[in-house]
Amino acid sequence: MPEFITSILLAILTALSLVASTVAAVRLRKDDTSGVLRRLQHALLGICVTGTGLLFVYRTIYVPPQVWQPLGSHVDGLLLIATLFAAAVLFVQRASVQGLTAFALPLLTILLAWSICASAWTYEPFKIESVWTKAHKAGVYLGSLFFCIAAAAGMMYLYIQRRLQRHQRPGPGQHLASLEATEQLIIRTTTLGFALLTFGLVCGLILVVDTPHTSLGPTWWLSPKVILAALVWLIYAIVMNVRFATAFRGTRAAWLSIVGVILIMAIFGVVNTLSDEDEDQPQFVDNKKIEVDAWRH
Amino acid sequence: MAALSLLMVGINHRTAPLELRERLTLNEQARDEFYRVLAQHLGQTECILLSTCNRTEIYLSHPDQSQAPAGTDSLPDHHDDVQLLVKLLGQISNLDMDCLLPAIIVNEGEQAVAHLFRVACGLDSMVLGEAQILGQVKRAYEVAQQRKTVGAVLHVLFQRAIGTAKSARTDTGMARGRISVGSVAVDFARQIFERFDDKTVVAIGAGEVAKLTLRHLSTLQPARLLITNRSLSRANALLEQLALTPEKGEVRSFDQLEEMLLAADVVIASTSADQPLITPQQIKPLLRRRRHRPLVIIDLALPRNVDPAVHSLPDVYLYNLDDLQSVISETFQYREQQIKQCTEILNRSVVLCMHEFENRDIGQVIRALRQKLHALGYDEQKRTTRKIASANPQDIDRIIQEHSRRLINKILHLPLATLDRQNRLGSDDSTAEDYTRTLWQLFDLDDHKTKDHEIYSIKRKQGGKHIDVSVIPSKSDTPASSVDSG
Repeated sequence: MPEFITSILLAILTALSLVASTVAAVRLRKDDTSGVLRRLQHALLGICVTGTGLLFVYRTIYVPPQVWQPLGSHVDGLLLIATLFAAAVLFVQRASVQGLTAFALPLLTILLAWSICASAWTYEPFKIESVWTKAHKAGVYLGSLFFCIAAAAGMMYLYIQRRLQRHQRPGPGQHLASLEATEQLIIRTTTLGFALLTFGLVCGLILVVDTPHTSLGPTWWLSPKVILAALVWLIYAIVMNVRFATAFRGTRAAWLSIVGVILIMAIFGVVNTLSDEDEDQPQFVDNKKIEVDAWRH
Repeated sequence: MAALSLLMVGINHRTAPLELRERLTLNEQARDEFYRVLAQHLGQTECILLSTCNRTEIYLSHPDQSQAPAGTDSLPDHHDDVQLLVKLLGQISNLDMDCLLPAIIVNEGEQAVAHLFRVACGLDSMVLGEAQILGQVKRAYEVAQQRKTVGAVLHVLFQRAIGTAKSARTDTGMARGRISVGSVAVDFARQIFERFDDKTVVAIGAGEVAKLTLRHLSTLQPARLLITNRSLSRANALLEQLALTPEKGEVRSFDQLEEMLLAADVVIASTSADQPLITPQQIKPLLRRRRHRPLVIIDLALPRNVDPAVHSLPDVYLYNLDDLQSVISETFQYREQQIKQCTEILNRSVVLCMHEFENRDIGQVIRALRQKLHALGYDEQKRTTRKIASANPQDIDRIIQEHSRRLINKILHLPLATLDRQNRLGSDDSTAEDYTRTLWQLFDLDDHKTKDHEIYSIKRKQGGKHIDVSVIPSKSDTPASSVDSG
């Protein structure tokens, strides 16, 4: 029953987020002198943030404690990211980077839609046995959260820059932050995300090396998951150093932050696709279908 | 009533692209040449040239046509004037007539008045409601005054336009808000940079435009302001006006332009140079040395100081005057209410101004009449004084009575003789009747009053063509006599 309710609520939240994204897109193109669109966008975003938060609490309360734990299943992990992402975007928008929600809302929609898929596929919890697994998941999920913010800021940067190069005022219907502020947000969130991702990957590495029979097999370093994860890490390593490598600032940093998030999603897709074919999963117990997330632990 | 002889010929940002306006922006030397050539062709014609970056307009008024006799209500024919002015503009700017003619706008009479009022108020500006244009209108008027090309018509017109623009801007709130060219340019810079306390601003040129823009920019408190200008004394004067400390502001020689471009985050170019001062060839080698920091260049000059190709360079954002067009359209929506109020004020002022022009003709008549009567009075006074000097005391009263009679007869001789002649000669006596009616009205020749005051009486023979005009003396005066010149 909680799974069904979760799926229904996720579908509603995704639809609301989609509508809010559309309203935000209209506001970027059209002057909103009456303020109706602004109020509508804010109301929808408020509902989305509150809704994801309440759903997260609902799952905390109604899903049996022995099964549920934070980041215990992929749907909970995504729900946590979505909630934190929406809240963080709201905070950042109020603090320094105005107009960020317009670019974050499509990403929020994708995260929620992804949660629906995850909820339909795998409600079973992860088998979290060691502290390395917990650290790995926490690092990777929170790292992904910051990368999502960086990607939203990257999209915003490219949009503002394009408007300015065409000698148009960015966002006729709303005030958007300056290029400089947006670039700073990309750099900061990418730096934080990179630190968390590095931490998560190192923990994952230790886990793989320490565990004799992993789902990745003996040649784990050749598995698509590890290769893609290394590639993402490398991209972010470049992005976070753009301040020092002058050729990689501004537009390039914005593009790389977007490409990085796309790759993270690709890793999830690849790992999920390959999961059924992956035969050796000795470390996961029970006969249940074991949830497979982007990081597969 | 005489028709107002007023003509406006020119181009503006609505009719001419930037390239054409660039060519038609007349510097001081070209303005001198224009006034000189125009004086050769049109002599005493009143003329004011308004040349800004967004418009080149010539206001013209023929004094002789403005004093056209009553009854000529149609507008004076300005076809030759328009041709001459267009030809002159073409010559000065080395432009082909085919290029120029489609962009030319012509306004006459009341339309020209309304146009100037809108221009002065900033309603016709590229940046709607901007204040800069009012100063430029004033300056154009002052320059024309110095050249003695301003007469009765253009004096009234420009005085009223400037006064109305001032009050309309204040009353409607148009004067408030960030709507000058400089402020819009600064808004673009703010869209690129979040903070300015670590930024360097370079101003190339120290004129009025630079001053206004830097005033806006100085509110953002940039770390450093470097000013370069052909005349360093003018640059120093600008620095003083901006009240910047030596650490914050500095005047540099123009030779150091490359060094300044290297340090600059924002460049404001507003010189009157004919050729671009900043080219892609200059900027390109600097990009790497600048570590790809964004560079905002605001080119407020016309002709442009920055080669448009600079915009295609990475990390460079170039904005010129035409780029402000998009902002103006947005501003227009926000200021719709203010514009409506302002237009109403301007329309009322145009009506008042036209009324003033009409009254100006009456005023001239009154002045001429007064002068003529005073001259008559003076002649009679001299004659009477001479007579009194050699007269016996008992003759003094008679001499004074004679003085009055002669003076009145002299005053009335010409109008009444004209009235009589019209009555005798014309088969159609409508003119005579008009004159008669006017006299009745002007001198308040009511029968009752005439008896009471016993001054004049104009007897009109009813049913006949002849009007016998006689002067009825007072009781103490001599009997009626026919009018003569005395």
